[in-house]
Amino acid sequence: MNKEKLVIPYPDEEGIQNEVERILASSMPPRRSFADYITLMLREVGLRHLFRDWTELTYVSLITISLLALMMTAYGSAASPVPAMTYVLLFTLSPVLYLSIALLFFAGKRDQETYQVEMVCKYNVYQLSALRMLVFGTAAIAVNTVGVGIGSWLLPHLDPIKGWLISMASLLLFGTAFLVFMRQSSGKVMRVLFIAGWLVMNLLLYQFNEFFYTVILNRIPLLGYAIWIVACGWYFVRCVRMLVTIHQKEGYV
Amino acid sequence: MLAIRNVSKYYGTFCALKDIDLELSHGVYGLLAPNGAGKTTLIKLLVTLLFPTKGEILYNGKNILGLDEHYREQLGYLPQQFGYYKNYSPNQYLMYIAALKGIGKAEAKTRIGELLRLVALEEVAHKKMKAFSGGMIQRVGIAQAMLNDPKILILDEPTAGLDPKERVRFRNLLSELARERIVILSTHIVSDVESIAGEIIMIKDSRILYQETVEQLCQTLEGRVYETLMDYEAADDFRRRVLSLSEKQEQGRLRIRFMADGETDESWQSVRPQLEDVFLHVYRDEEAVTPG
Repeated sequence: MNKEKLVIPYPDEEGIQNEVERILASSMPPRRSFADYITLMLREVGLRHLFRDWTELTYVSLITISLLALMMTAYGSAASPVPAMTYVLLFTLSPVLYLSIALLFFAGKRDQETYQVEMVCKYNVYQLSALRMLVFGTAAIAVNTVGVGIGSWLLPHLDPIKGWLISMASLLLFGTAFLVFMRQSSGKVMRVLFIAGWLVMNLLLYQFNEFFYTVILNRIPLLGYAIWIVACGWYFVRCVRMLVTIHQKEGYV
Repeated sequence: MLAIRNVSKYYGTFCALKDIDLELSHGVYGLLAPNGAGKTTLIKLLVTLLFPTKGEILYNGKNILGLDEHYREQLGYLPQQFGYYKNYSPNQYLMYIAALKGIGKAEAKTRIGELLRLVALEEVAHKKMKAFSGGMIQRVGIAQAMLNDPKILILDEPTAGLDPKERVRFRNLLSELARERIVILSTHIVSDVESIAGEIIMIKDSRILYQETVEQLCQTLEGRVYETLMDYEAADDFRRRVLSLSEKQEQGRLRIRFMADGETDESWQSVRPQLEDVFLHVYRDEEAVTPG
């Protein structure tokens, strides 16, 4: 009996590559871009559940906005508000709303009893924090824009474009610094250190506002602010992205 | 299939688990050991709250840490200390957890209705949880673990706070659920797993001592467990010679269930070993043994 020898042709390079890609595509989870991931998370979690404690969030936001408005109004109604102080105030107050909310809602604290349950959900507390930081950031930009608009209407010496750029630059600088700080540890010590550092810096800025304005704020051209904003914005998104994939060395508890 | 390959976990120099190798497919697995033996560490490794110092855990052949959210989507977990928001009702809380699990609103509503019925909390679905008993809270915890219809259900001391009736109901519920998923139930209470676990996993000295069925475990003590009736006065001396497993009063005398190697007496009656006997024998040197 004649036996036919079965011959299987060896595939060419392209064939091998296609086959490898097909196997990988069918067995690996689909890769999504960061934007797609955030959009999907926002759709699945929803704003309603993103801020679990709406009462606390509303309370903190209203108090902060009222305080900021009160300070700006008091300053605007002073006998002769000076440009140096106006821009320095804008610089120091712009990130306050974002930071006050972020400090409270950054991530579920480890000592919180619900932490373990929330950490093993599809979207864990760090991923939720990433989404929160983006939403807080967007809301803070909107509030600051309105604030600068009102400010430039009340104060003739406040240039709205320069004011807005300074406000954005400050918000993104401190927003990013906050995420860098929290990446080291989201514990109480880091929060306290951050607040302390923030207070010391503000006191120094008020004390030397003339110097800070003439030497730094007033010397930077508008394009310089634009570059600052893009650079900080890019790093802010990068930090948020890291939160999504954060893996602590030993685990989360 | 969940495979634990050569996993060790160290906290600094302290070794909590060493060279753990396990393979788990469908069914109920009872993780049985005294408090402090490393059960919760193993559970936390399985739910990715902790990472192994050495080794890896694979789900269907892939490392669970790499699978990340794709693994957590398959997971239901009830921690030992189940945290909840006191001002939430079970309905609100479960809607919140459903959102974190990526379950759509309409689907979540239907599922929550089913689960609340299953754990008999339908009547109080809209009541604030701060007024709930420990058992009721635990049932909310079980419901949240089941929300995403998990392929792997991990429960750490789930019967804490449940009354005997609730325990029975819970055991029946688990048997039903385990048909199509992996259920890992960590406990130090023998009766929680004796009747429902397909396999019992025992940890001792940071290592897996057994992964066997209840029958296989009981066979390890075959012919070594006895009962006898004696006067109270003789009990102290007797206890020094054998390992007493349980004692009860009977007609003014003491009925002792015990383990003895080698020596026998015609007044001793050989009995069939139970899982509780194995547990007491294995952990005889350790404290915090809580059979029940």
